[in-house]
Amino acid sequence: MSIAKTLAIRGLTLVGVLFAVLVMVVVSLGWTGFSDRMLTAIVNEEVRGLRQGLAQTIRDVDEIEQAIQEQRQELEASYGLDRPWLVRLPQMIWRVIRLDLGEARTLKTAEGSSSITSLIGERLPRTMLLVTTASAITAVFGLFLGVKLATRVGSRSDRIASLFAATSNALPAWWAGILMILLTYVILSTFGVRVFPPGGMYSAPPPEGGLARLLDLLWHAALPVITMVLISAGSWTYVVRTMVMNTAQEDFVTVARAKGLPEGTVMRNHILRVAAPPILTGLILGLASSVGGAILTETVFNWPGMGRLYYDAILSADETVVVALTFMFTLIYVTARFILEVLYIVVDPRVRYS
Amino acid sequence: MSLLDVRDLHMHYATQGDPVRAVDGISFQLEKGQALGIVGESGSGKTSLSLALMRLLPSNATGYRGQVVLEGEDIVALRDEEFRRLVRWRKMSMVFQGAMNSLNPVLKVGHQVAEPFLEENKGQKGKKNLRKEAKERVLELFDLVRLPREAVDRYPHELSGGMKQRVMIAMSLVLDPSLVILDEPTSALDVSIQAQMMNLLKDLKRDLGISFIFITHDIALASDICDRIAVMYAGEIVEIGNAEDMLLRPQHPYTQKLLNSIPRLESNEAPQFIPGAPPDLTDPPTGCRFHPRCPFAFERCDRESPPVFTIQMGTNEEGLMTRCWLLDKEKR
Amino acid sequence: MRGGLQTALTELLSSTTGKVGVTFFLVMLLISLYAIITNPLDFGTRLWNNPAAWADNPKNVPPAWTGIFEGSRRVNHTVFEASEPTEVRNTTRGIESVYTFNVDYTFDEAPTFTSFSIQNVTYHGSPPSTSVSVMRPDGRSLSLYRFVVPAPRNGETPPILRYQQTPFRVHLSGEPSVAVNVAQFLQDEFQVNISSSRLVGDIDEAVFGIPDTQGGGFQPLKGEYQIVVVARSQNERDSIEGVKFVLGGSQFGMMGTDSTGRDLARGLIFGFPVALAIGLITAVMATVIGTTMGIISGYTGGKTDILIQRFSDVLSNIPLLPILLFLAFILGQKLWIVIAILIVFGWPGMAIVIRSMVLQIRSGQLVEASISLGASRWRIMLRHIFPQMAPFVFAQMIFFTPAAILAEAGLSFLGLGDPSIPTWGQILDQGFRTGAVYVGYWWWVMPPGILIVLTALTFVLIALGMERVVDPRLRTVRQ
Ligand SMILES: Nc1ncnc2c1ncn2[C@@H]1O[C@H](COP(=O)(O)OP(=O)(O)OP(=O)(O)O)[C@@H](O)[C@H]1O
Ligand SMILES: [Mg+2]
Repeated sequence: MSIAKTLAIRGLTLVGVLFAVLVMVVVSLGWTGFSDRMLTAIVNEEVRGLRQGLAQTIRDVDEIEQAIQEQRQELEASYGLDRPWLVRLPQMIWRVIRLDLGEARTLKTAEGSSSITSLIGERLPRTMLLVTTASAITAVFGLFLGVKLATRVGSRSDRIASLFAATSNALPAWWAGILMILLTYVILSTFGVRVFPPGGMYSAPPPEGGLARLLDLLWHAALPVITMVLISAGSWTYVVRTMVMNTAQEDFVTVARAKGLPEGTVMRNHILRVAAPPILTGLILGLASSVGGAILTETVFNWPGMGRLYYDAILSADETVVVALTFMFTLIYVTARFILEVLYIVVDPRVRYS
Repeated sequence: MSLLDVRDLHMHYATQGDPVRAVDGISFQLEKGQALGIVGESGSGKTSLSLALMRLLPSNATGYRGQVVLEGEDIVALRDEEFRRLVRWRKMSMVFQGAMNSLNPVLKVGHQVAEPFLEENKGQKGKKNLRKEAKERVLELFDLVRLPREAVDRYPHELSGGMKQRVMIAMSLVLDPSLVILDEPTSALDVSIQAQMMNLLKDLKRDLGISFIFITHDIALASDICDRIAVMYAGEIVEIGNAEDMLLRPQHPYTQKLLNSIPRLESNEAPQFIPGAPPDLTDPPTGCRFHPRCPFAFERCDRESPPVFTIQMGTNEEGLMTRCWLLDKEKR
Repeated sequence: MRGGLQTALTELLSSTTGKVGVTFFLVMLLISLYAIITNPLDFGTRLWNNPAAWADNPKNVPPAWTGIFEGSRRVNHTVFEASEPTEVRNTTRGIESVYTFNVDYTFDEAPTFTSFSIQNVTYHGSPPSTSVSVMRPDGRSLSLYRFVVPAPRNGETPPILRYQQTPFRVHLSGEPSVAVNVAQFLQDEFQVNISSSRLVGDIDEAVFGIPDTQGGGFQPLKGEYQIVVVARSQNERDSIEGVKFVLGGSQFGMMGTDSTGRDLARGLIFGFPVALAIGLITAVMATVIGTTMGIISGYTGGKTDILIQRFSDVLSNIPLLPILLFLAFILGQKLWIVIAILIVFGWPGMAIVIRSMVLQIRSGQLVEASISLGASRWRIMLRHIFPQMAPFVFAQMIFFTPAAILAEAGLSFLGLGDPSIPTWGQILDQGFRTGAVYVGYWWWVMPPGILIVLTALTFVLIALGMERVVDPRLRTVRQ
């Protein structure tokens, strides 16, 4: 199979993923009647406000009713309630695909814009800041330690690391976050020092001046980042260690040693070079899924990113935002996968030609 | 002075129970320009022996001791780093069993062949010059092993089994070693390719004057290229001698059995298999290790390990060296 | 097949991690059994999420055993209950049933609250009355509270039944009439003048202490107290079946309480069978579907194969958490829906792995031989392909279990748990939402998390013990 064809198939699958998610969203919103119920509730709410307004100016009851009926129909038409969900929701999806994401009902950016695009524009960088910092630290840490451990498989430190990895596999990041918050509380109550703030992104009020603000931001980001690193570093180290170990057992590594190459060259050119693609996969997949996982971490640390936004949107039952964000989460994930696919082809000649 | 003089070499593998005595007191000599065949059943320790010679000790190797004198120097006594710098691939290289897995899948084969050359001459010439020289060397070797020149830029999975084997041979020659160990270089290839490969090896031996250790389980194949043949059984050499004598007048019952087990085109007799299974190397039989499977075994074989008996054959002043009580002059 | 699983189990039990994991698992199984036997199935709706059931418990207090580490003695939460009177007296004013509770008060502080309740009252003529008074170790006695059971309503005929379902309960510490009585008591006995409205927060301090003349406030008074409840009725057939006096502690039970006074130990225990059920049901179902699809896909080949492959590919590439949240939100917070979603998104990964194994096995000699002997497809699948994969499939199932448990916990933590079935994640959610984390109520947020981790770890350890079964490097396909 040629590269182009491989890529095309992968690309199509990923587009299929996006499509499947959207169909699922539409069907579950429409079929359960959730969408209808919610929109009707919104219309009723607005009509009630209208009635109060009209009652001030118009005396005649019939006239009021008449006006309200007209208004209601207009509103229903504007929300699309006059059409069945099978027609209305696909239109919404089509807008979403074109990244015409619409307006949020109650959620707003710091500047007060309720356009979902600007909401995402405000929140996504914050999530990325957390996630990429944590992933980068984890990756570097895991690579160093993993390679170290791979050279002494079965040793005491290796066994401890394996156990640590197993434990952190079972440790949900959000609970670890809660523990961290609890710990900062204990430190605060026993020593009277606030090592890290328990949540949020800036102190209230945020300090003046660029540098002070940046430091304040870092101070607030520290706890979530430490938590995420602590949780993922163990299993990441273990993945690297296992990959390196498995590759180190390959015959060609023995050959490389037999050729009289120094240990460093053997490690770099023969072991890491071959173990790199799967390690890279793990890294990018980890990054992609921790964007989704941010829903939990950001909730715990009250970090106003994409995850927190999604959570708030669900709590406030804002259909448009939920759909838009579900799409965005999937899009980010799928894009990461595709980049991975391309990278894989660059790094691994076996894929290129098979 | 012999090119290679191995004396009482041991290497065992640690396991949960007793160690596997895969190389258990091996001694032999190899003259310059000659080829020595090492023949034995699967599991007799042939690969382990070659790893021990190359000092590529697996992580669970224990009890590595003995003497390996290569060109007058005992290389067992060298420190690891010295061994790597001075001996590996420069004096002694190896073609591993199973060429399929011996090549790194993500590096071009030309580069893999050139690697030792680049490492050897590192820092001596300009980077560019070195590259060019290395490339020339690789192309020269590819010509020598009759590989198409374009193959240098290929990845292993783009080559056939025979081509990979040739790449491995080219690789082993890149630093002009005086000894090349070939571990079953033909067993994974089909018969016609096998013949080509043997011809290639014979040519190399003749033209380059390299010494070979040729490992195989096919004694007939060994006799095709080797001057001398050693038969290995359960981690020991049970018989060693001139190839012709070994083939025509073997003295050890195991060698005889091995010869009988080869299917022959010109004979109507069915090949005979050796009864019984190869011994467990964690707990080898007492006395002669072959005695449980030997039709001529008598009571002494169980009791005492036989010493080396030298049999003069007349065709050759050296004769056969055989470890079997049947050859004891004062029997019983 | 049995042979394969048996070797897998032997393998498992020969490793330390495996042994630890299996032991943990057995302990959890036992606790789950205990939880199922001792709790009603509608534990969630009837007890856990019913505030009335926990009214008599102190709120937000740590476990009782933490008192050991305290310098001063904290009040142990004690419930005094009686269904039979200690003494019955016939007096001119009627029949007096006396219930006496002895309180050995050795604590360095006042109770967090006191409450009194009666249940199942039956009367025939005029309604009975009850009174609560305290005999203090200093010889003083104090009448706290009087209560007359409501009279018959129009048309009601004897026997009149009162407080059948929910008991009559009064929170003595906050009851204005009690405050009046206590203020009077202080005035009479100690010549201390405190208005009853100011006393309301300090009722228990006054009842179980003596006024501190210098600093104001009260000093706890240690010694033997007697709580005397007198029920007076006019008819000897009248009865009260339950009289209860609660001395609200500042520590409670094994695991403490939450902000509604729930006994956290009970919720945690009930969480065991739920967590195991979520993990195992999801894992088993996902494995069964995944294996079936994988075998069909790998063995049938052709269009079916491509279809199943693409489908699994798409499903297993969907980012799970956002979708899970979305669906749980839209489809409703029902545990079975969550499990169903986890299964739907769980099996494709399994199918992909199984398929590649099938392809490997299918080219094996035994299968080829069977095909040439004319064995039917299904027979080959069942008799030859599946048995070879059984240990691997089993290991995959174990692998999958903690993921399901953690996913449900995360969902519950976000407030999308099934309210009728309490889980550890929900306890954590409530602890987090009510701010328990920020004020250091560790007994509320630590134990559920620890249990989630331990349960997940149990399966991770078992999976680790089965590494050799799973690791393709260590696995040799038997022919
Ligand atoms: N790393 C190791 N650890 C433990 N035992 C080993 C190890 N490597 C090889 N062995 C055992 O040592 C014995 C000799 O193995 P070796 O590979 O040297 O045999 P061989 O003669 O090369 O066989 P073949 O013809 O199959 O290549 C065998 O019983 C083998 O199982
Ligand atoms: Mg071998």
